[in-house]
Amino acid sequence: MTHSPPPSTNEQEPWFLTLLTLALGFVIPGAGHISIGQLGRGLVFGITILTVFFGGMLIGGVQSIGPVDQPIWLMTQKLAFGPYLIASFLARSQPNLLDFFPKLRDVGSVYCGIAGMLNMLVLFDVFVRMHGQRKPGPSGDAETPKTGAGS
Amino acid sequence: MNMLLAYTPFIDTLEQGIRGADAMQLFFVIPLVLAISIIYKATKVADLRDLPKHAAIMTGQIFMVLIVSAIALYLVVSLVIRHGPPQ
Repeated sequence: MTHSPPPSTNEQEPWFLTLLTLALGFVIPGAGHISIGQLGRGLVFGITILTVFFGGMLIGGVQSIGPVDQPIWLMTQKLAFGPYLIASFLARSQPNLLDFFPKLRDVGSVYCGIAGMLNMLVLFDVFVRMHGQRKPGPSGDAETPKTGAGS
Repeated sequence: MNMLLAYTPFIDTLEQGIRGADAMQLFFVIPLVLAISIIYKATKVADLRDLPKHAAIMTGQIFMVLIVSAIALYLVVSLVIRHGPPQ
């Protein structure tokens, strides 16, 4: 699964490898970066996104997963597909929970939805790292982004 | 006490484990902003050793904007309450 880091030349990755990497990152947040050899970045992405997603579940419980009255968050939660599958399985096994707290459920839905959107940002990043034109840095570092690292 | 015993993390809401969590919902924005900053800056920085500094700066910037927006909205609402809506 692991292959060499993104080339600094115009050499392009095969399309199926790109799709495989994106699918991997879609199911397991951060795994796309790890598969292209960026272990540290992939771990940062994976740990952060999973923390946000399951932090949302900790706050809102399983009721915050797949809120039918909030279609935006319902869709965005699915962008972190692996965690969403696990959470959906948990939610289905716990029907008719009592003591409903709508505010916390909403906060949990937002957390899980933003985790999904962050995963989409990470997928764009892994695509750019595989196919984008990144200028080499002063030391020849091909990871130097085009827009610079300033805040 | 019964509610604490019945609390199951990730299944029940946090209110059932920590009384008063429902009233502190605004504070839940802090870890969320921090996570957004970490992810965004991790896509930008060339060297991951710079990530904590850049993420902290971005977190501070977001909170500054949130605080300034809150003050501005508070002033607008105060003016509207005092003088009534514009005719």
